[in-house]
Amino acid sequence: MIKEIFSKRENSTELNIVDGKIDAVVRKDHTMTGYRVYDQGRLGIVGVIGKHDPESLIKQAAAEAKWGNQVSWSPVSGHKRRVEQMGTFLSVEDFAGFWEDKLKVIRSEFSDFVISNKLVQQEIVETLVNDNQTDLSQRVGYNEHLLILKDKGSQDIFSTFGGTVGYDFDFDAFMGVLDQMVSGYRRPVDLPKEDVLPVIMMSPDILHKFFTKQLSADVFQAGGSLFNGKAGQQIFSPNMSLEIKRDPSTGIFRFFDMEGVSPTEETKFLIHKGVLKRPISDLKHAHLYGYDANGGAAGVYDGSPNAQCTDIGCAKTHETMDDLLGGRMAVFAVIAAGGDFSDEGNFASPVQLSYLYQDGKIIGKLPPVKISASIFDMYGKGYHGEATLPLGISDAFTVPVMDMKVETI
Amino acid sequence: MYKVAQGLYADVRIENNFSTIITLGKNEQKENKERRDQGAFIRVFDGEKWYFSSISDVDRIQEELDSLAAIAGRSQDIMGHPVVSKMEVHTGDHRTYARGNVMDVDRMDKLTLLKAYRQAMQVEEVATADVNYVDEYKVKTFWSSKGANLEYDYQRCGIDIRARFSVEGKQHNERWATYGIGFSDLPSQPLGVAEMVQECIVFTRDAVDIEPGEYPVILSPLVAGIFAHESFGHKSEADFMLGDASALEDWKIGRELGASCLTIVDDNTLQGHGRVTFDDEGNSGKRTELIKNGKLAGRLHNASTAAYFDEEVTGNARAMNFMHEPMVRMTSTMFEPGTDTKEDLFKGVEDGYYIHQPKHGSGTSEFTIAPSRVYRIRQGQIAEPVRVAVATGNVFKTLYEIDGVSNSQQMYGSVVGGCGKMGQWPLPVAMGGPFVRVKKMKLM
Repeated sequence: MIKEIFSKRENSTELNIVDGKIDAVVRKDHTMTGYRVYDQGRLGIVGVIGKHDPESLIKQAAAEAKWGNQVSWSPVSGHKRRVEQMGTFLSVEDFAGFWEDKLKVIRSEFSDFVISNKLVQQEIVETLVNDNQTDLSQRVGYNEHLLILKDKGSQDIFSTFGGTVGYDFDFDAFMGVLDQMVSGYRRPVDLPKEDVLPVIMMSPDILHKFFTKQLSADVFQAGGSLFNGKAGQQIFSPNMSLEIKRDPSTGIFRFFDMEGVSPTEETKFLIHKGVLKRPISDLKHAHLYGYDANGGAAGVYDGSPNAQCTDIGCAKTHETMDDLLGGRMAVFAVIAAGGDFSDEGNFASPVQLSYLYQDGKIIGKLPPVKISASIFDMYGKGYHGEATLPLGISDAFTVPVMDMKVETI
Repeated sequence: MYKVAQGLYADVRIENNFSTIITLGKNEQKENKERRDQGAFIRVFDGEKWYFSSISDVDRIQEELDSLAAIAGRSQDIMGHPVVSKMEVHTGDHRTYARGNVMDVDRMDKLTLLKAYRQAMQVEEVATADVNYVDEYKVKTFWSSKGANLEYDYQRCGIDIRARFSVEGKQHNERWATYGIGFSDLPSQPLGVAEMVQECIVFTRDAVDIEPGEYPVILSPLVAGIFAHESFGHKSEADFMLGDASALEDWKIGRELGASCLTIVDDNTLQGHGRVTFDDEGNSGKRTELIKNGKLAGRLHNASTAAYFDEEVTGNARAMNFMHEPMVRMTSTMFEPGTDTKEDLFKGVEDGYYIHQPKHGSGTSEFTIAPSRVYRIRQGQIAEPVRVAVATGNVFKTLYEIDGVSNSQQMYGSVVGGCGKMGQWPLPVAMGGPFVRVKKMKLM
């Protein structure tokens, strides 16, 4: 019997903002622990939130093994590492006091908007230890301060939004983003005549989820992927590499996956220089089908790990967005919700909030547009690269730029 | 029960939660677990701000109340505050699921049932399938310094299938689900699954891309429910209007918003996955007409928004679980049935599209529905399958484009997934309606 324990502590202070003022001060502190027991070819798991008796939980996990998934592999051995990446944090009282003052400035500066949303200081401590001498721990603390601004009188739920996300916080940078977003909102511009324009995707999650779905070892092995039969082939631009993100110094990522695996500099690449290399794999698929265990195990604290990791993204190609664009004009798609891919890889999405962007500045707000392109064009001939989010929104995240058909709705 | 300093309002919500999650892949088990947890969400109000804390150690509630009180201010007349005055005071034991409780069903029976559903997916064209059984039982106790002291419960269960079809090198993803409150509500045989599989095989093989454009569209009851939820339901959540006096004028009750055949309701009392006997501020669940015959009829409230609008609470303050604060959320949102038959609706479309099955939806001023299965309508009949990435349009224009609503209604729940808002996802909701015909909708 091999025991393994994963735990995650989430400790946050949040300020709920309503009508430009602090409506609620929120404290949350929870530790979720999952006990795993590998015993006689099965994996028993039991989870608990809060304080508990470890011995009792191990016994329960052992009893759960009769219900658990079949396993013919062992958990990782001898992995030891500790990482700490903490940003600037304030006490609850100081955090609320700081923002009480700053919100006065924000209300006065943007008096024609109703201001809402959340300001969050988040600390996350995650550990994975097992009987095989594995002892991994990561502690990160970051600030996520995003405000929604609704033009007074608008029938919409929001008009624009702005803020910053990162380990550290700089109020001037925060105000700079809000200023740019609001000034841009006040300057409506027409969509340029070109059918196809470079699009900066502020939230590329929908793109990453598509890759996760297609490149999960589960789907890939079963022959259900759009990319089946293309391993080793050049499917995208030589400028494009897709990787599993496990480096907390380049973003808010955990350095190990839900089974304690970190990818190597080679195995982190799912697609390297446009060539399809390997699927996202957990220990199970590595063991059963010979894939590289590349840090692709996802899951919840009390769940069975699976190969559905969503911590993926393109490798950075340029240091800044302006290096990447080199003076070209682009559509900055700030909110593009509700879009999706067809099963053949054709992407389409309405863009609820977008700006025309050039040379580090927002030129003006575009009317509602829709964007569309095939996945093979987006990351093929239309791929410009990946760079840090513009305007100083975050140093912790990079986003892609690709050509897409852009039309007014 | 708990002690709260003078000049403060406080409430405490304790949850005891049980859930089962079993997932079977096509050839293997992927998950089989029961989860039990307990925790509390504590709120203190000083008349200006709320102070919230979420803890998992319920023995520390008084300590946490005292700690929040220490950073709060004080109000001379907190019980007379407009927000506190909107807090209803209910007492007693309102649990209703003592019989037919999913906690009492043997886990082997759940697994056996799920295996029967998985069996129906054992065809060559199904590349991968996740067949999920989910149940949830919650007991909540709610106490407030105003005098509330009650206990109530919530239950749901269901089976959800997510399959990837692969036919002649073409792929298609599909979802299918069946819903219940108690385990015995779930059909013991996988009724309808084999038909869905055969339809999807044909769809995967034969579906062709459409020419993007505006077309007449008929929405299935599930798609209509998503449209009601995403396009208008979220706009009915009154918290988005807080602080905006001009919005009050724009959203005046009685304002015309759409076609006269259009009635949308949010009903907390409806038995189903969206049922809210009492909300997470202790207010009782109610039925709220949002649009009646094309005119704005109501909106959804928690105590704060009801006080701001000087309207009655609707019982829509909901939190995903004890780790989260309640906010204004929908419950069971639906189009009300009309007078046309389904056949009449289809007969009225010479050349258009029928959106049968959705993947997901979203909505601001522009709504979106990402369909999984769409069919052409030719001369009033369902014809060949087509692939559509997104159906979209302006909410307010589209509400006027609705020109037919069928006379039958079907409701759906949340087995895997639910509604998301401000970091709280997935919250179980129900949605549905009749078949709804729209004169034109953009398909991309």
